[in-house]
Amino acid sequence: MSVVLDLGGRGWSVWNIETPPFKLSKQLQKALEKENSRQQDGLQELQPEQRPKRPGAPAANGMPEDFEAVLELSENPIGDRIVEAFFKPGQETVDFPSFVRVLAHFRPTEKNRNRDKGQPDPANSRTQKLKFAFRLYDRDRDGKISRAELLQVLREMLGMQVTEEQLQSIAERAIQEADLDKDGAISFDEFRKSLEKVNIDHKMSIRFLE
Amino acid sequence: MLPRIAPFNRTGFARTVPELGLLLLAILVLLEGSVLPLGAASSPGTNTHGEVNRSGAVEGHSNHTKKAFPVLSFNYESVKLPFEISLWVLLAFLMKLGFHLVPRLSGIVPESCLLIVVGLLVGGLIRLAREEVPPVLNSKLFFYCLLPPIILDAGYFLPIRPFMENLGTILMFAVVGTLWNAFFVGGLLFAICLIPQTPVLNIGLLPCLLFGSIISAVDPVAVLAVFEEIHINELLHILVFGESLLNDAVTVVLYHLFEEFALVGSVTVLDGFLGIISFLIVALGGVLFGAIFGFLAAFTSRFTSHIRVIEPLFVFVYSYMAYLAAEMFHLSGIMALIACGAVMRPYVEANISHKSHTTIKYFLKMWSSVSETLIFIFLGVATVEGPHEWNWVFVTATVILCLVSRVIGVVGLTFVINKFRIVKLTTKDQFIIAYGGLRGAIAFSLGFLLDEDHFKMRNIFLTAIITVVFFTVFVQGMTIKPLVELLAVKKKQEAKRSINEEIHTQFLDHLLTGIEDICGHYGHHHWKDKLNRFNKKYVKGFLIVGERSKEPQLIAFYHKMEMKQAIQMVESGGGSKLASAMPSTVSMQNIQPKNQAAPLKPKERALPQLSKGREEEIRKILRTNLQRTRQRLHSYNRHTLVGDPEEEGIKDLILKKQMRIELDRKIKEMANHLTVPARTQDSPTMRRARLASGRNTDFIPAQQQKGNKNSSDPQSFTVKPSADGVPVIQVDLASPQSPDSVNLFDETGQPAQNDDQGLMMKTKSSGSDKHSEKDDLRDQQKLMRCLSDPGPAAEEDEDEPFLP
Repeated sequence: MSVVLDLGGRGWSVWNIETPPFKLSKQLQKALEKENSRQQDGLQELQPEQRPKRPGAPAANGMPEDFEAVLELSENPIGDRIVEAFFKPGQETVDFPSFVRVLAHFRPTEKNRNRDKGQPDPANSRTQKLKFAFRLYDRDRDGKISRAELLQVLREMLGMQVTEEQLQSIAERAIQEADLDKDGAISFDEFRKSLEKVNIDHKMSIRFLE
Repeated sequence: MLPRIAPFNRTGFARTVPELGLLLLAILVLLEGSVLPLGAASSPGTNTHGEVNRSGAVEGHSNHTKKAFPVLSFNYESVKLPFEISLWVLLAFLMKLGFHLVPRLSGIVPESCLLIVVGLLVGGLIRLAREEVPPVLNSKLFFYCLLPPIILDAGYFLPIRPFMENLGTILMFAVVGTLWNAFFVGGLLFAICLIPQTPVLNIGLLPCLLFGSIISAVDPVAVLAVFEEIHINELLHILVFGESLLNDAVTVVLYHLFEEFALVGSVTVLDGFLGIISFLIVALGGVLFGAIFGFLAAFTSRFTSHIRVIEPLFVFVYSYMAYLAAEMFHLSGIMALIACGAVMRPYVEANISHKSHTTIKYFLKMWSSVSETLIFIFLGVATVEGPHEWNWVFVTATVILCLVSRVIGVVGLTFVINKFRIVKLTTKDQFIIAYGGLRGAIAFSLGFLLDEDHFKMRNIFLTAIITVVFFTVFVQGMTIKPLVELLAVKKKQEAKRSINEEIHTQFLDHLLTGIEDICGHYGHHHWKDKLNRFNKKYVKGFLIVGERSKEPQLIAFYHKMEMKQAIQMVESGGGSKLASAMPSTVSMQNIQPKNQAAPLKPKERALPQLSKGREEEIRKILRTNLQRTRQRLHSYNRHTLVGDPEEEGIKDLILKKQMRIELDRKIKEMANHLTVPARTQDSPTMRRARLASGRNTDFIPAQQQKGNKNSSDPQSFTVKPSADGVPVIQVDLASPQSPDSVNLFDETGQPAQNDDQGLMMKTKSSGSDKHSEKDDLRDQQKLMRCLSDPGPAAEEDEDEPFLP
């Protein structure tokens, strides 16, 4: 079933409801049911048109250029990485289910989830969140954050304000701290370990998406 | 007998050192305790003596009576006030010392309890001596002298991030919780007073509400004192503590409101409405005042680069003025202090020297410690002093109602708050929050402030307040620690932030901001990001001096970490601890491959293979030699602490280290035949550094590296280049040296041969580690400046005479 939802001033248009495990919240679901009038069958592609102010041609598919319509992303140091994360490798467009799938990572974690061994982790579990973040670092998807990749991230975040040496040292230091098996790169497990004290559930959740 | 003497009976009289110390302390305290009443008692004596003298002198103009010249006279009057103050402070600290000498005691009983007990004892002593106890805890002294240091200490070191993240929760507890407490306690007390059976109580509704508002506020001093010892996790700490700080605004408003209207006798809706407006003004006004003074302080600190000595003063004075200014307008002084401290801290810390930072930290801690101790002692003394009017019903009702209202308040509020929180508060958390609602000296002082004439029931109030305070501090304070253990509440993580966490946290911040932008949702991260941007663009450039204003936070953090680590390594005594927590130092890495490479390339080995033992020897020799050159005292002019050479030194150090690491890595790479750069790509900084150190900038690859593709020693070369680049400060030599001699050292180490360039570096220093040793020499010398006293550069020292 696909519906269109207008979330007031945000102008968010939702076209397709996914069945669980994405579990859009009840609130969203109710709104979806209400707005059934503009229902269209089949998968509709998303307009990443987020706010009424912004121009942006409603494209049939979400293309990277559409994301650029979100002005703030261009100011964001890692904006292009974020946009990249929505697109599966090799794909040129993002369809709505993938969009929702990515956003589902940012729902607040539910405590007391009954852990069925059979069911896969829901998208907003801590591990999945971390995996998503890891993917942002690991652009070439080889499963490790190499020094070059880390340097790249640092360069993006810190920009022109620091010298190359400082970046190098920081990257060295970071890898040295996190790298437990001494392979010169940070694997997902090492990544997770280095962040075990950080409250990921809190840091990577947007309440609005609950 | 003083309770501390009790343990002596078991072990025999004063056998061990701590017990000796205790005995000494006890004697001193007794002496002091007796001097105080003596001093007070003798003051009337000297007074009359003084008067007689004066009158005698007036008349004596006409008839000089010849008296013997007083060889030794006793005039207590003129030093009375400072003397007594000093005695009290001294007493407070001897007490504190004493408690820590008895280890078991300080584990079971929180310090605040012990201090109150001491206060009781001293009060009792004074009463015995004089029948009258000086009113030490008068409100003026408390609010203007004793309270500000504690609050400033709390505000300056407030952990901003968790505070801001939980601000909503904290405000809910502070505002709504305190209001609820006040009205609940006040209302029910009034109801109890109405019951005809209660003896002799005739308290109107408004005085009851006034009392409720006094007693309902959680006290920051008590919370700090108790929570400091139990080390619970950051979230709970910041919740209770933040609440205790922010409820001041509510207390102020309620107090003044009810005080005003208790006289009049009635409250209208309009008054209630005005009260709400007043609350907003009080709270926001206080914060505004604090922020203004904070910015002023930050701005002033921008210009202090030449007079570093007075930097701490600005922090203190501006904050105190913020407090007083807020108090002047009946705004919330506590909130002003907190705002001032929190606002000025990031900018001031970027501007001031390392030493000033330490000074500020220690002064704040010291003053707040003094204040806290004195407050509790005075509380004890004031208890003895009275005046008391004990009313069983009132007092017990108060205690019970306070507890009940706190529990209900916390539970109810948490229920509401949890709907808005991502990380919910569990029952355990709620229990700790409720249990941690301690009342303290602020309540007592507020009660003390009540006018005796208008409030006949002041004494009853005071008695009840003291009882509640005692109850919370003693009972709740003592039992909270075992309860925390029992309930297995999460403790504070004693973790240092690693650079990884910092990087990733920033990364995630950006990520979340981006996602929020995509969603079109102006959430928490969005505003934080906007604030940061604004801060970076406009504010930092204005308030922070020089280039630090452009330094991103990550770099600043990294620098701090490096410095800390370096200092740690120096303090821990150095180079022999090669296998420290930091994974392999540069030297280890460099020794191994060379040692392994040695047999394979006999042609290249101009250097003898140094065993580790030999290396240690060399290090020791160097260390002792260098230490001797630095054994003089440095004089320094009080007016010019010559401008923080260690600061530039540290920057230098880091730069040079990095450059060193680059060079080493490049050497390694060349030695590994991985790259044969004809000329290394130098960044301007490296080039500059190279020039400065007098080394040949033409990095000509050594001849052996040109053609030899023999990487027959794969093992040595699988050492990752990154390991070389490990930014570890190898601290071998603990002693500093003047920069000149080190440079000399360096330069003598430069041979003329070009083609042996790469090798040369190895030769001169038994592997690059020796070379890095030299630089580390210089590095450590800069480091030592940090640690040793004060730190003018050596050469300047030679020029200045000892006495300015």
